[in-house]
Formats: sequence, C-alpha cells, structure tokens
Amino acid sequence: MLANRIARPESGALGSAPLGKNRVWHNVFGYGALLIVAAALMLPLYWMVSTAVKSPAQMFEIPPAWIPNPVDFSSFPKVFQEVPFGRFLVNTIIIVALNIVGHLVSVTLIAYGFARLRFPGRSVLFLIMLSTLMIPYHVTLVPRFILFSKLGWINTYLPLTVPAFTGSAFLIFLVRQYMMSIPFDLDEAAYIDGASRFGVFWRIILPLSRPALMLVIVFTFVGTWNDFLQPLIYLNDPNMFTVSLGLSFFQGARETNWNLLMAGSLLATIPPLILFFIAQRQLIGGISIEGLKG
Amino acid sequence: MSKRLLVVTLVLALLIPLLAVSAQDQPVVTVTWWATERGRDTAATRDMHFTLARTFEESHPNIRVALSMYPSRAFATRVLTAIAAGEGPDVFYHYFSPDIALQGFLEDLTPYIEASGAAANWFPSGVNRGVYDGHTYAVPRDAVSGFIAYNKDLFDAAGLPYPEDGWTIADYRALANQLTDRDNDTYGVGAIVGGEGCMLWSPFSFNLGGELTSPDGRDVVGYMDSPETVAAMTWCLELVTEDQVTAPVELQDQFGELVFLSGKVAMQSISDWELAAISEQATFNWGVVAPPRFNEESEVIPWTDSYMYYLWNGSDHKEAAWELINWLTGPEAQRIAAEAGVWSPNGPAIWEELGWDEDPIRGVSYNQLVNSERVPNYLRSQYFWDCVAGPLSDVRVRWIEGGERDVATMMAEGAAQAQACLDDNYGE
Repeated sequence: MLANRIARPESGALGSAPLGKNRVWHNVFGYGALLIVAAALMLPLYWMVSTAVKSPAQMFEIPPAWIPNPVDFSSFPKVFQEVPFGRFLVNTIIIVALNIVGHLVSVTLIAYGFARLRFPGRSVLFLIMLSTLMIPYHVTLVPRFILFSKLGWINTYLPLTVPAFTGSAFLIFLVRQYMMSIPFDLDEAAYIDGASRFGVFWRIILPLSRPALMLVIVFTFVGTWNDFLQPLIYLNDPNMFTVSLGLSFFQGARETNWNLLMAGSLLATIPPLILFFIAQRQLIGGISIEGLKG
Repeated sequence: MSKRLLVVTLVLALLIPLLAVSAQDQPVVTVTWWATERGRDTAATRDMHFTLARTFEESHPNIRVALSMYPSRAFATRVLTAIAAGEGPDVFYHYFSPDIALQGFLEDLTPYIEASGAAANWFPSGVNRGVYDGHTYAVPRDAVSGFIAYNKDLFDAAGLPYPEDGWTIADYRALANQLTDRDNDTYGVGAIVGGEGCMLWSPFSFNLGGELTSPDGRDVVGYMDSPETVAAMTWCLELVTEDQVTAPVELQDQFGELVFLSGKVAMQSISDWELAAISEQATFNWGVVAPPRFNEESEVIPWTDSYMYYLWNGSDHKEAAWELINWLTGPEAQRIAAEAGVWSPNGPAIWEELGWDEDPIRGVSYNQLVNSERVPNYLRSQYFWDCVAGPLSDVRVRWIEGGERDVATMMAEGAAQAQACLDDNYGE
C-alpha cells in the first residue's frame, strides 16, 4: 500500500539521464575505496585458501608465492586422515544445535519476563543479571570446573550444553530490548480475547521477535562453533573434541602444519558461512532494528 | 632329609597359587596421563602415545593408563584448571620451568629417582633440567640440542667450503656476509639469530658469552645488562641492520624451519625438534654442524633442551604414576618413540643402539648432548616469558624500528623493568 502511495519517478528521470561529472567521480572514488577495503578484508581469507592448496615447497618460498602453482588439494583429505575431523564436525554440530535450542527456549522466556511482565524487583533482578556481563569468564573457570566435576559432568557434553538452557545475559538483554519495542496494545488485545500470559508470549511476542531470534541463533552458532576454551577444559576424550579444538592439533609448540591448519580452517568456516548466507536478510534486519530501537 | 624336602615342596605348592591369587586380587588402578600433540604427523604421534600406554599396561597388569591428548597451544590452561579444581592428571609432560614447583602442585621425585637409579641413563643436562632448589621435580621425556643447519647448494653456488666443527662466531658472521645476495632474495642467516631469539632457543645464547638471568632465574639486573650480554645482543642486532644478512623479519617464524625450507637461507640455527620437517620437506642438499664457539681459545658450549614428565602431588596413585613415568623414561618407551620418529631419546644408550651417534646429522646432536650439563638460565624461571622476554624484544624493536643504538642503556632499562616484574611475581 505504502509503495502505491509513493510517486513513481518519470520514466528515464534517473535511469537514462546522463550522470553529472561530479557524480561519476563520486562513484569511482566511492566504489574504488570500497573495493580496496574489501580486498584488504579478504586478504587473510585469500591467504588461508592459497596456503591450503599450496605444496609444502611453495609454502616456504621467498618471496612468498601469492598464486599457488600447481594447485594441490591433497591437504583436504589429509585433514581427515590426521585427525577424526568428520567426527569433530558432527560433535560440534550436536553441541551447536543443543545450544541454539537451549538459548531460544531460555532467552526468550526470560527476556519476555523482563520485557512484558511487571513484578516486584524486576529492575533489580535485571541489573543483577546485566552485572554478570562484567565478570570475566576466566574468573569463574575454576569454580565452574569444580561444580561440573562434582556433578560428574567432566568428559561429557553436559557442561557445554546445559548452561545454554539457563540463558545468556547478553542475549537476554538483546531480546528484552527488542520485545520492549513491541506495542503493549497487542498484549492487551490478546488478554481481552482470553489469552493467557504464555499464550501472549507464544502467539504474539515470539512471532514478532523473529529478527531478534535470528540474532540469537547466529550469535549462539558462531560463539559455540568457535569456542575453544570450554571444550578444552571439559573434554578429555579426543573423539569427543570439537572443530576448534581439533584444528589446534595441527599447531604444536614447536611445529605447525600450515597446509593442514589452513585446509581445516577453511572447512571449518563453511558451516558459519552457509548460515550467514541463509540468515543474512533476517540478520541485517535484526541488527538494524536493534540499532534503531535498542 | 627327603621328608623335609617333601614338606617344603608341599608348602611351596600351596603358597605359589595363593601368591598368584593374591597378585591377581590386587586392585587395578587407573593412572591418568595427559600429553600434547606436536603439530605435525598428528595421527602418528597420537598412535605412538597409545602404543606406549598399551605396551605399559601389558607389562603392568595392575595399572591402567587413561591417556588424553590435547593441543599444545592451551595445554597449560587445561592442566592448571584441572589441578586447581583438584582433578589434575597423575602424570603429564610439558615445557614448564622447574621452579613451577614453587606453586606447590608438583611431587618431589627425588626419592623415586634415587631408589630407581634411573637418572644414570639420562643425558646430564636432562637430569639438571628438572632440578629446583636441590630437589628433582621433573624427569626428561626426550633430549634435543641446538646446532646449525646449512644449505649445501648455496655454499656450492658461492664457492665456499662447508662449515666444520671448531668454527667461531667470527667465521659464522663472515660466511653470512659472503652468502647474502639480497638482489636474489638469498640470505646468510635465517630466523632466531638476528634479534632477541639470538639470545634464546639457540646455542648462540651461550657461545656469545652473555646471560640473561641468574642461575636461579630470579635476577636479571647484572645479567641482562652486563657488558658481555650487551655485546652479545649488539652482535645479534648488527646482523640485521649493519650486515643485513638476515632473512626479512616477516618471513621468520619462531623456530626457523620454515624460512630455512625456502632454500634461500644459507645457515639456520635449529634443533632436533625441527629435523623431521627439514628431512621430509627440504628440496635442496643440506647438512648440519656444531654451533660456532666464541673464539679460537674457547670451547663450544652445547645448548640442550627437553620436555619433562611431572607427577601431580594430589595424585591418589603416586606409586603407580611413578611406575608409568619410570617406564616412559626408560629404554623400552624411548625406543618406541624414537623408532616412530616422534622424539629423540633422553639418554645415550638408545641413540647408540639406533646408530644415531654415528649418523652425519644426528651424530652432531649426540656429541652436543653427551658433552652438556648446562641448562639455559632463562629456562629456570617460570616467569621468564611474562617478565623478561617482552623487555628483551623491546630492545630489538627500538634498535631496528626506532634506530636507537645505545644497547647498554636499552638493556639496562629492560633489565630494570623485567626485574620489577620478577620481584613482583616471586613476592620479593
């Protein structure tokens, strides 16, 4: 409807009119600068790809060989031969999936409570929750380890997944801010129609919070996928290791197998990239909405 | 007589099965052993560790080994977190300094070692490496020494003779200059030498005559800023800026095998740890030679090193854990590791058994190891890398990037800064 009300420009008003000289130069410099920045940002990625497909001899060349010749793909199967990389991928996917489910359940419910329900001590509780963001993770490392050890959870996936079902202060804050931007009129209308509080959450707030939920999924995915410290601390059995931990096997104190490290890293970036391409519309929408309304 | 014999025989016949039953009834204890990957030949390294664990179990039926392998990158974090939580591994190996015993979680292995007499089988520097305050807290997993690898093709192309034992640092510098051809991206010297690495991780740290810390690792003032160390550091830095014989710094990795493997570096300080990569991947002819000595009058001082096994003093199975350590540092395990090419043995017997003492490459290292008792002082302090390495690196940065040339002042400032950090950490 809105689109219909916007006057369409006369045919050719923009498309066929010759661009002014200033505008041309503006575009040239603008796109040129963007290309340079994009190239600079892509450089590490390019180096990763090129190292992954270089032969060992090429890797050590002085000056460095920018373009691999010949292109050698043998590092990719070697990654799977040297470490159980497929198993690492499956392990990581399981942990990521459970964390996403855990965060979606816990974060949305807690955020809903803080955003839409009124109860005594709400602000204080919210402040306490926010203040936990300021505690460095490493401070709680040993107490958490002791806790999980007493529960008999060491060398299981429980320490890596169960905490997700108890929420995440940052994500709760994010979703709560989004939920607060949804008009309360909708809740009231639903209550008048006989909806329960959970009904309002489930039928009104949750569907309208999709961009924020997508952010929760992406942040959880990336954070869990890249997590090195927690799997290192809580897992003993190499067969249970994750991708980020497994990749470090190629990096010794004295020696680093650069071909395999780069090939493995390249493989490890594929799932997050796929997620980004699938979710990018929602993700950009979510970020812009958070930026405007947060 | 025959009656007595009959009685003794009967008693023995009754006792032997009883003893056998009681031996079988001994509870099986599980010893946890935490180890690290080394970055290359990952599968072979992992398989070798599990072979060690299973071989040990075969000869020690009452001890089970629960082996876990971690990336070396964060191994200390893993071990220290577990120990702080009271869940540490019984046995682990790592590259700790012996004075980490100050933190109170390492078992004093002195009585175990004295009872076993095992130390007699190890290279002397490996034994000394684990001693702190008169007590032994660690035993050597392996043994390596530092030496110079050289690219024979580059020497041939320059028409220069290969370096030989007995050469001096003056010979080394002269060769580095003769072999450098910057127009063709060819350099006399590779990584490590030409910066603070010159004073660390390499035989130059001894043979230049300087020291960075006191023998107990707690003092740097009077060592890092001594005239000898200042002269040594100046020599290292001049290779970079005055002689310009070192490979570009952005191409230098910490331990040097990468830049040497480029084929554009004539001489590279390496150790046994880098030999596997060079042996497999070098596309040129190469050799090794003992490090250069200070001058014609001095002897060469070998630089040696090793990873060490530790026993956590919170272990519930210390005797069994020591059994494992004793076996791992003994001939059978050392032979398995050496034959797998994963690390070089911690004592001369296996080197000789494998013929490495006669090998043109390994023999150079062997001669260093049997003639060395000295442990680098900088490896004595657990706080060296946090306190001293940074200020030492700053001197290189100020020299190369800032153009400063007063090394004595820079080293004195660095020493004061490092000393304050050490004092703070040691609570002095």
